[in-house]
Amino acid sequence: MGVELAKLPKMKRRRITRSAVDQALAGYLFVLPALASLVIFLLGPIIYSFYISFQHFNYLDPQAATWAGFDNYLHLFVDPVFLQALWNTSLYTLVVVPVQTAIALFLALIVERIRGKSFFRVAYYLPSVTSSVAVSVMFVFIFGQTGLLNNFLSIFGIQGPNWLNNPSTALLAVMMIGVWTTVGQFMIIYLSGLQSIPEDVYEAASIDGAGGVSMLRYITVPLLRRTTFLIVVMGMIGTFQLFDTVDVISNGQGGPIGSTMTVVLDIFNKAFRDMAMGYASAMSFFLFVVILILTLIQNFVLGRENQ
Amino acid sequence: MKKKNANKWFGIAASGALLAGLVQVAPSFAATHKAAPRKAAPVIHLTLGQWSSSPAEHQLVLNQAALFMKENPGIDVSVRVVTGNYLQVMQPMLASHTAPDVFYVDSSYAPQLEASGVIMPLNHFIAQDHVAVKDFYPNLVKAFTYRGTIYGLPKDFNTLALESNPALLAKAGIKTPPATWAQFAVDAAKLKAKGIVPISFPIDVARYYPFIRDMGGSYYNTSRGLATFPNKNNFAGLNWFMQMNEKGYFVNPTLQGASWGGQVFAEGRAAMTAEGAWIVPSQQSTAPKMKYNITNFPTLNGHDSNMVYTVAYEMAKATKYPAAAAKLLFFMTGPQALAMTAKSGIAMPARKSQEPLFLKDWPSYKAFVNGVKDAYPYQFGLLGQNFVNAINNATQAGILKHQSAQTVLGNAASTLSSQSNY
Repeated sequence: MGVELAKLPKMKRRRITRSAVDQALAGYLFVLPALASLVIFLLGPIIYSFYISFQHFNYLDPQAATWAGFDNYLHLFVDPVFLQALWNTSLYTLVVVPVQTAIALFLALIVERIRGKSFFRVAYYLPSVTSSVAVSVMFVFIFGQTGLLNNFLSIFGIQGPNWLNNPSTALLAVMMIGVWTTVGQFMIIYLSGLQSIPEDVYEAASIDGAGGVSMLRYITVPLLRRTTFLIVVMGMIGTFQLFDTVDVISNGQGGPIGSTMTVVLDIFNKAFRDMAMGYASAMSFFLFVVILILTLIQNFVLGRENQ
Repeated sequence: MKKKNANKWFGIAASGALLAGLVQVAPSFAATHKAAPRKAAPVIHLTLGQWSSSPAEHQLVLNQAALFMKENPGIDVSVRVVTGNYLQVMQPMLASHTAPDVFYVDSSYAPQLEASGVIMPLNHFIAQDHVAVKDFYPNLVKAFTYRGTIYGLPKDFNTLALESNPALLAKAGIKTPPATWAQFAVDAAKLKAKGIVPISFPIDVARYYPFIRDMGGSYYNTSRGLATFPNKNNFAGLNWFMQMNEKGYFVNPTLQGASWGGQVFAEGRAAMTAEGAWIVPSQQSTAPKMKYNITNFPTLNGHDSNMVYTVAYEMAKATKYPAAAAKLLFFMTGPQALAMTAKSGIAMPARKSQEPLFLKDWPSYKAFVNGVKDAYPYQFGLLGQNFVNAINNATQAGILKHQSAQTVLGNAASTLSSQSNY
């Protein structure tokens, strides 16, 4: 459109662009359907749930909602189930994010170099496009008492634990599932990051006599910083919202003995099982603030180069 | 600088969007089925909601509904099958007054729905239609009575019985399955000596609560709606159950890598299990050749307490045709419909008058029917799942860490009190 406008004689063009209001209106009309659905189905519910997070709000009986002030938020800090969920989730994030980032980088570095690159890309990416429920069900078999993993371990004479039913190993098993499913997706992002590093930097380095390890340490990793930031932030948001895996393997209970209870599973149970929608909304906003703060901290640590 | 800001806002927006994405839980419906073609032009259209269990159960409901329509030409009924998490799908529909007119309600969460005012009280309709409530087993009706008002009529029920594998019992020289839990302890020692798991039994209040009641305890005060965990009357029963687990006489199915006792039992890895009648179809499909006996749930301390799991038909308060919906509800829980249930063998009919008919066709279910006499409905008032989780987690942790019954009950009470009213 811009080109066509430029071709028109000056007089005519002024006549068309005369009304800036008209043009803006047309623009808004075009995006109206998207904008409306965004406001009604995304922004609206968010604002409304913020509002009811200050209420004792029973899902089935909205008329009987009473104002709770900060009660819901204050109760979070004395609710042992929520505190355990927060602890489990933090531990999960703390382990999974660094591990999956490191493995993703490692895989990307290997895959970039070897033959059959596209095969490996597809192979590693497959877990990310598989339904997480299907993945969880599959891992229930792998981690069973007489499952695949324990059978494999028994070859080496190791008696494996009852992974998913032992409170001390259940979260570890969930961590392994988490790393397995997301590593491929982040590997793809790292691969594209690697391709954007100019070849001449490496050439210059090799002329200066730099070896593979120092090239990795002084060129690849620093230049991938933006990619790493993106991966860490996305990984962290994903891990803090862990839900489907634990819902499947613990039947929604977060067991054994609360060892796989996560914040989102707790939110889900409070909202849709106990019908305490107000309290669940408060939990959601607490989680939002936690993720927001952690993202800002990471932005500060990893994203400073932009200044 | 500008770019940094953009990134920051992207991060914020992205986390917000992802957080909002969580709310998109997808409740889903399978196709709505017309029960049968009708002749006369219907005046009233009703919907009946059921959860998806088996095709056989769906067919039974369709047949019952068809018979109802034949007898009531002015009313058209379609059966809606809710797939997925039933309660989670029903809640928003009840809140927005779009729920089916008549629908299944499980006893475990019935009080929560009834208390929130979305269910139609039935007393008035029962009086009007002269429904013989006395024909139902009284503890089943009690499960759907909230503060003296009847909100639902039970359609069927299930109780616990003892299933035993005679081949495994014979290996330890045991000829008949134990009738008392004291005898069980003697048999269990023999089985364990032979390396056989005596009984696969979960650490779940839904199964072990009879022991608490047999020993004179109670976890819940029905009239006051309060949990009564730390009460010394409860110590004996819980202690007994925990000891049985610590001795390895009772083995939690998860310890054997199974999701429930029936699975371990069908694989021949436990001599006994104590499940409801749902184990019968499961045995047929997973271990059709295995011989097993179903006997009464053993007595403890001279008492034969049991659990009863029951499902009722209830009516949405927002229904447009309350009189017609009540008619449908009473038909679906009436003698005709329950006779069809009895014939099908899918579940045990909730009316005492159907018991002979049911047992004539299904004599092997005798032990389950016997269990209902002194059975406690699986229901803990408005405390619901929080109650169950608090006591189950505390009991599991207690057995794992060798705690005393007193500690377990204290932990359960403190967890529950932190969860209530929010």
